[in-house]
Amino acid sequence: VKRLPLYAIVLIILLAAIICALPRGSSVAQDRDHLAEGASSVHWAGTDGLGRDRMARTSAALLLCFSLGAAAAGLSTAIAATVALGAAYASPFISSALLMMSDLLLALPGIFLLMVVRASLPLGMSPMHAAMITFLLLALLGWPLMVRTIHAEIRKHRQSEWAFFCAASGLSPNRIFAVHMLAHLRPLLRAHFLLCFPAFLIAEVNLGSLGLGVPEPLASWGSMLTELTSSAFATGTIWRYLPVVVLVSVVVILELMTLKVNRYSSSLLRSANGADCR
Amino acid sequence: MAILKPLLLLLLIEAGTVLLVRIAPGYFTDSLLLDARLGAQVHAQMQAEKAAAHGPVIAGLLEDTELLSGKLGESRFFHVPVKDLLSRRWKITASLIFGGLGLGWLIAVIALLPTLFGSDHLGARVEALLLAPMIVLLAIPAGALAAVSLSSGHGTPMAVIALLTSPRVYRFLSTLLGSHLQSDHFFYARSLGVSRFRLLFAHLAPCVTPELLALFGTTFIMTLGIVVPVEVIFDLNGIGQLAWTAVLNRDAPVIAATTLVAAAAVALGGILTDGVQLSRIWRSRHSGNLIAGEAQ
Repeated sequence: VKRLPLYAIVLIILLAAIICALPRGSSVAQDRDHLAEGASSVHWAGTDGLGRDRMARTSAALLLCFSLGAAAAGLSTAIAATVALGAAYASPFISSALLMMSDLLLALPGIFLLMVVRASLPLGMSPMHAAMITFLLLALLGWPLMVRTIHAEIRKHRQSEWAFFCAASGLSPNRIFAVHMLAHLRPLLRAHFLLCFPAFLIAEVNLGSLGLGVPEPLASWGSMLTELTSSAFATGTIWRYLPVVVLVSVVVILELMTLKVNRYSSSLLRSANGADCR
Repeated sequence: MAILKPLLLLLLIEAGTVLLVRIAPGYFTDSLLLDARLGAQVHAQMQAEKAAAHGPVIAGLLEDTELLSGKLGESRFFHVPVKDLLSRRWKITASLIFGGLGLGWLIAVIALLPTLFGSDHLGARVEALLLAPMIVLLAIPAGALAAVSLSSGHGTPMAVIALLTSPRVYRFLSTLLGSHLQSDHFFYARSLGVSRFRLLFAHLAPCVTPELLALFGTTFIMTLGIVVPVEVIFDLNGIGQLAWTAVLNRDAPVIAATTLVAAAAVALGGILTDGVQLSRIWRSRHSGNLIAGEAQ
């Protein structure tokens, strides 16, 4: 039961991969005899305005956003850890400059920054490059989320008894960091990853709904939303809500995983504090 | 320091935006140079005239100085002063933000009433009932909710903003008030027979005011982000839609001005929140001094 969210995510990804691997699973193939139709035996979730299979596009969008979102969340976590580490070990001036930079990025609504940065990119990029750059931007703008928490945790551990004991036992600072400090930071870094991941998926959808996310013909949840806002399909099938339903389900599962990790990390912190008190 | 920090933030954001706009491809390109009807000789002549007037770097610096001195320049896409564009649209955005935010807070507070005034059992049951819809609402992107609301014909832009902000406010308030209500001094006050109403307004409210102010600031920044897709999808002529149009058309002066407005709103919110907090601290110290003086 504890691993249910993880199993659910794996199952959804497997299903999406199987659908994409089917002979009719192309997300770009157009069936001009079936434009903007509902569910049928040929197209299980109907087609969009260009005759592309909605199920195949939703599955392709899931795989693309999931892989790029996970990579971006990983990169963002790595940047957050590096900045927090730099701020914890550097001189007070550099430390406050790094923390102020993270405050600066947190203070402005992310969508304004993303829009401005996205607008400054060249127009003639391939869709895959544009998709990768979109998620790269999300990673570069999303790292400050937990920098202060990670920074505080590193500083706390630097002053802890085990760190003094390690140093007194002759362990090199590199070994103390790589073997011991990272192990203590792992729950926080995992929490940062799980917070960033759904946030990046949501940000891509918001950018896509503005026409600034992953460009066509690549399938993404954001670009698929434009079908909902187009007046040409206002009286269309209920299947047009499929991308939204899949997206919300995936984000809810990721949020449940985050809640579980948060509970685990807070219990870990409590037990660590208890051990310190003893 | 409370005023300097937001101002520094404003300055840094503006400098960053101006830098990004400068490095955007085609920023220093005149649209007339892309006109195929004009010959190569005319193009060369126009470029020579521009170079004689001032180079791109100096032109950029001049624009920055004008921007920071309050002259927002002229839109490259609409060909009207940016100030006019903003003055026509700010009321729509402000009413949407404050209306949506107010409604969101109202929904969150109403959802909290059973926890605050009912029995512990009722509060726990209501919280358990609200958990699932709150998690689902937290998982819906602003663009998706606005698109679903528009395509289904149900809901208004303000309702979309309220639905997106209320779960965050509710979750924070529930944790904050819950931790205070479970504390020892509140148990003691309740055992002495102090009414819930008095407990909330005379004892709890002063304790949680700083956190509430911080929460208001956070939800305000969040709403600034939500308002862009909502205005675009519902086709409302607000500042969010203006920013989006500017980005799509690479209208640099408008991009810089709208980012400046958003940063100024955030900075002003920060100054106001810090100001209220500082006045609170000053008043408490002042009253403390008065009491100490009377005792002496």
